[in-house]
Amino acid sequence: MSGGRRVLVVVGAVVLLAACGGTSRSDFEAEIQSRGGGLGSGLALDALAALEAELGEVPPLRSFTMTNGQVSMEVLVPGTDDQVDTYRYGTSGLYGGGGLSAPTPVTGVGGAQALRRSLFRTERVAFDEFDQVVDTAIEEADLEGGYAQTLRVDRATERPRITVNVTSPRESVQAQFRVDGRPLRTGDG
Amino acid sequence: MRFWKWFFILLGPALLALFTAVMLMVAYPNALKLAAPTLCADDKPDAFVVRYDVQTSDGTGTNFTLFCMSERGEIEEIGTWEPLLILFAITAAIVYGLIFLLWLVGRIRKMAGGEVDPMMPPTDPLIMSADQILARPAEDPFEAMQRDQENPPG
Repeated sequence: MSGGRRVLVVVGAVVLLAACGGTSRSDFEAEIQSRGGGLGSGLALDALAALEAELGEVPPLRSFTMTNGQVSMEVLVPGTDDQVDTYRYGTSGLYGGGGLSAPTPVTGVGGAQALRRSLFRTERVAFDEFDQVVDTAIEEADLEGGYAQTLRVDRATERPRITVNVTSPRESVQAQFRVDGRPLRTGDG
Repeated sequence: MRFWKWFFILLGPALLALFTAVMLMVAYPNALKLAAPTLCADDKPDAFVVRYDVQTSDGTGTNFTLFCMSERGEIEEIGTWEPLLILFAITAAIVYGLIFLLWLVGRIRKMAGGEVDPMMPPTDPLIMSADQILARPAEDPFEAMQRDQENPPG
């Protein structure tokens, strides 16, 4: 074998052994998106269970926001009426951290009176219907390559609502639901 | 000496298995997927080995981590260490299995035709085994003769 060819074989072997294998992060994320975005009941219920294990109860929430593999919960600090902490729960160290994080205080929540109007109890929210909620949102958005990017429960208006953000490379659509999982039509109160 | 013999018989294959498992992971990261049936939950059966870059003190390194995914795209990261441990267990089982098979073949051959056991040390008369080297030297016949002359037996 000539010297040049030998070098080529060695370089080829090194490339074959060292550079191949594994899925790149972008391909992995594209796979998640092609399956709908990875939001659903399983992650939501796991996050609530972790919060309950930490606090002994699930206090009223100010918001519940899900993204891929991550849940962020703004929680009324037990024993107070004007303090809110954020807890994060995740299933991956690569995507924001695994397990339940330590609480971080939230600023600007207003006084007890204002805060009470923006809190909701978790018993009212059908977390086990989130699979259906997300599927409906993606179906109704009808975007090419669309996937559910975020799901948020909060009480921006009088009643708490579930808002699902369905996005695609060219467009984003928001779908709103009642907390029991029923779709909210325009004009619904 | 017996201690060292068993030490190498037991620990040697384990070290070989560890080396093989680590090399497998580095050369073919998808080998970590072998651990997926054990480590992934039933509702997240699809395994992905994700490659990502990390900053180290002397530049950029590449890490591999095992993810399990559900059909809805929900993910759970398993990490690197647990799959590597399972890869090591599988490799170790294969290496020990091969050694056991070799030992068994040797035994059967020995029982069948008295042939040489491949696990036994060589019996070349010019090569001394460690046991032979360390054994008490046999009595020198010349010394025995001299002693007999000084104190004639009988």
